[in-house]
Amino acid sequence: MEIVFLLLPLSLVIAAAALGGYLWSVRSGQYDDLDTPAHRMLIDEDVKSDESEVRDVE
Amino acid sequence: MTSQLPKSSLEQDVLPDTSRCSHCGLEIVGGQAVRGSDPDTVFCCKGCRLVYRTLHEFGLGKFYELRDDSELRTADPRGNRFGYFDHDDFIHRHVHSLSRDLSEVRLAIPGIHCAACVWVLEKLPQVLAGVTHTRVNLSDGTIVLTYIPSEVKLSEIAQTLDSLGYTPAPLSLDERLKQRRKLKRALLLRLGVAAATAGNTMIISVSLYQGYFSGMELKYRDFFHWISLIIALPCVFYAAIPFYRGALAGLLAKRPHVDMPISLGILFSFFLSVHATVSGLEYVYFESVCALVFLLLIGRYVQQEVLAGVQSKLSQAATFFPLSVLRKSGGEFEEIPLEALRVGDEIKVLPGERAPADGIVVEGSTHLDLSVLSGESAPVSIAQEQEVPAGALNLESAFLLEARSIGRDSRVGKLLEQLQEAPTESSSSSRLINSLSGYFVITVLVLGFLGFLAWLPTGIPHAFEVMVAVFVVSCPCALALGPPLIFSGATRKALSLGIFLKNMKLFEERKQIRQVFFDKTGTLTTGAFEVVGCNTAAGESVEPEWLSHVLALEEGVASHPLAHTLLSYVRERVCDISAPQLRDLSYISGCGVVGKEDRKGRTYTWKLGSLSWAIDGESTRGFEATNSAHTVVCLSCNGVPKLFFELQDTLHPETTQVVQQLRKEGVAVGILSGDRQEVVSHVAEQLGIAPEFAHGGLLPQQKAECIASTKGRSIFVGDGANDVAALLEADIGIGLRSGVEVCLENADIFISEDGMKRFGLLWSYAKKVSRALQRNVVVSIAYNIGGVSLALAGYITPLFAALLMSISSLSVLFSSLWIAYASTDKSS
Repeated sequence: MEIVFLLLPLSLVIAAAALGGYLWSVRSGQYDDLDTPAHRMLIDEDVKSDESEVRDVE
Repeated sequence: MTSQLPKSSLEQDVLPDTSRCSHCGLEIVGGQAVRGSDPDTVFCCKGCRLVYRTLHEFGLGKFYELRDDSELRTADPRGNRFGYFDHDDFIHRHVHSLSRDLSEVRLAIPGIHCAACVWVLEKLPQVLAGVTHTRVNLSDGTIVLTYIPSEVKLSEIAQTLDSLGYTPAPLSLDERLKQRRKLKRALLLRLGVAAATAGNTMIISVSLYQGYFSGMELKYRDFFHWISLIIALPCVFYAAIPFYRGALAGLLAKRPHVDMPISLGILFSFFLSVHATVSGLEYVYFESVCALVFLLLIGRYVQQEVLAGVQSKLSQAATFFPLSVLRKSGGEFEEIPLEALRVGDEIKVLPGERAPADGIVVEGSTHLDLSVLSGESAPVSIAQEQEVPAGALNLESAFLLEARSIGRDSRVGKLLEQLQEAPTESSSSSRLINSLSGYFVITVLVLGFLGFLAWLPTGIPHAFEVMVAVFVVSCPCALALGPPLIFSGATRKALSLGIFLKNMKLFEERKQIRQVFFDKTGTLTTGAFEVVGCNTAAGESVEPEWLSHVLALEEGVASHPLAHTLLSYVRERVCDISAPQLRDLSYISGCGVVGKEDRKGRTYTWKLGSLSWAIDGESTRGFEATNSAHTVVCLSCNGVPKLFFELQDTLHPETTQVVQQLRKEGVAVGILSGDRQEVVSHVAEQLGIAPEFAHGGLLPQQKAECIASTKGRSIFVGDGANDVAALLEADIGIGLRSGVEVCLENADIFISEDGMKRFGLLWSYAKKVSRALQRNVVVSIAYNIGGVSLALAGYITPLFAALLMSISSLSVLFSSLWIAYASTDKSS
């Protein structure tokens, strides 16, 4: 069971990384507008006018 | 070009009848229709046809599919009025230069709310060359545009947005918006940290719990304790800072605050656990500390977000100043943004506009509507050298105004400022909750200490354990977490009804309310007169000719409030009679209107106005008003009375229902009015209000005295400037729309429109909310009493106490959320 002395700090490092990701996303403004994206996703893009989407489909 | 127009199969859905414009949805005024190339389409003007065509040309016809037809915006017929967007001052203020040939501007677009808005606005670069990027933010109601200034002018962008139905406005509250965003991010960061620490400490504490029951080697236990301690550090010393600040502020102000028991609980549990960790004792409570901080921060976040929403709605309600003004420079007028206006500038105020500044009339004369400022409904006439307050609505003709104090410095500007700052955090966490928190802290501290003393004979460690259990088991959540959540839900719900809550008093004190007093004119009644009877002198029948004379006379003085009522009454009855030509039409103030008619060589003098004046001392020939409370207007010819109109201030349709509802609940209803006693008694009789509760002829101060002399808590609902004292005197003052200035400052609740109906809704809604609040407090008191007594009796170990506390917090969280959101949805 001594392995827990290694695994627990290790898991904490991973948790800290996840928290860091969250802090970054807040600081970069991803939570500033929580209403528009909900509407934006309802709108289909024109497939032919948006090449990147075509590429994604392929 | 037009033949390439894709035919939209949805046009017919959008356009059930051909009387509305296919683009803007406005009604098409007779004969003005512009046909589209598609037979199903019809437009109100060429502009709309162009936009419709443009949208389809760029493949944006989907707009008509996505848009929410219920809230189509009205385009302004005045043409380009965005010239001031190109003014240097405007650009300096609102436009940031990104690079040499790229600029960014953020504009407010009130009213964007649906997918179609987002879609069409973000497609703007396809429609207008020079615009490179647009991004909509529905939360703030703003749009960020990137554009190339050398290719497109800002006014052109604004014009295009306007023609699409989205009227842009400069973002006057840019600073406040940034501030709000900063606050929100800061709280989200703390919330995230608290969530992470709570989650991780809980996982570790599960292992610890297991260890408590089935045995655990000390080296593992102590290691877990130390790890938990490290995880809890950022929670206690970063995430929980707002609570310490609140508690400290309360301490400095020597006032109990809800943050005090919270801070005490957090710090006490944390340092006890640190002590236990360092000295290798059995129990630590890091997970309860972190969970407590996390849950309470959720409450704070919801509250802050809802309040921010209320504030932005309020600031929209408050933008009634014109955004641009016509300034005189040399002999010309130039359009400048309001911000560029300086004291001493001469500006032209057009009919239908509001004065943008307090000032002095330099040239011209007109009538002003001051109803928004004072509640006074009659137009006020002003001439040269007279003062005009900002916000006054110009009813008649353009005049030149010399600005003396502008925008926020003006009287009304200062008040609006207060209004925007009104719903602050401190006002929502209420007096009641804060004073309860004070008792809570003291009681828990005293009980814990007493417990320690009582158990001292069994040894210091055990006595200490009992004290810790008492502190840990006591849960301030019903005070700290429940009310903000419930209040947030209530605020949001009220806002959707057009009601602005400044504090929670109505919800807290609803049960104690014994009287509701109403102002009469404009509150119980519509303030608009209605013709309730049209009689002739005894034995005569109504001649159509007489009505046509009424028409002719009244059209001469259409601005009088009674004239408007009579005109519409007469027009309903005589459709094909043209008004006779009268000469020397004149209006005699306080009496009525008089005009002369020449017919068959004779001159007739027609008079319309108050009875005694119109009949010139002749007899009323058997006429008796059916009710002494009615206002009588008489038409006479050469002093002989012909027609008697009886007019009455009508009750709001909902008034009776609301009054009955109040009385059913045992709340006394009273009227406090400055109007004549007969009129007040008549209204009281209609509503079944006892005569001793119907007070007429009161001066403003007497209204307040009436309220002060009653026993028990009272509400006053009023609208005018003469109601201020009463609004302040009543336990809860509710202001209605027409007297914005006075009400915003002094009322606890402000109802923006539809007063009586909304008041009724608010009253029944308040019942639900106040019940929920009480239930929360009662359950929590029961829990705390139970928990603390068990802890004192020594039945609860500190660890079990921590578990109980978490369960209690969670139950408060869920029940509050349920009350605040689930039940509001049902009732709406």
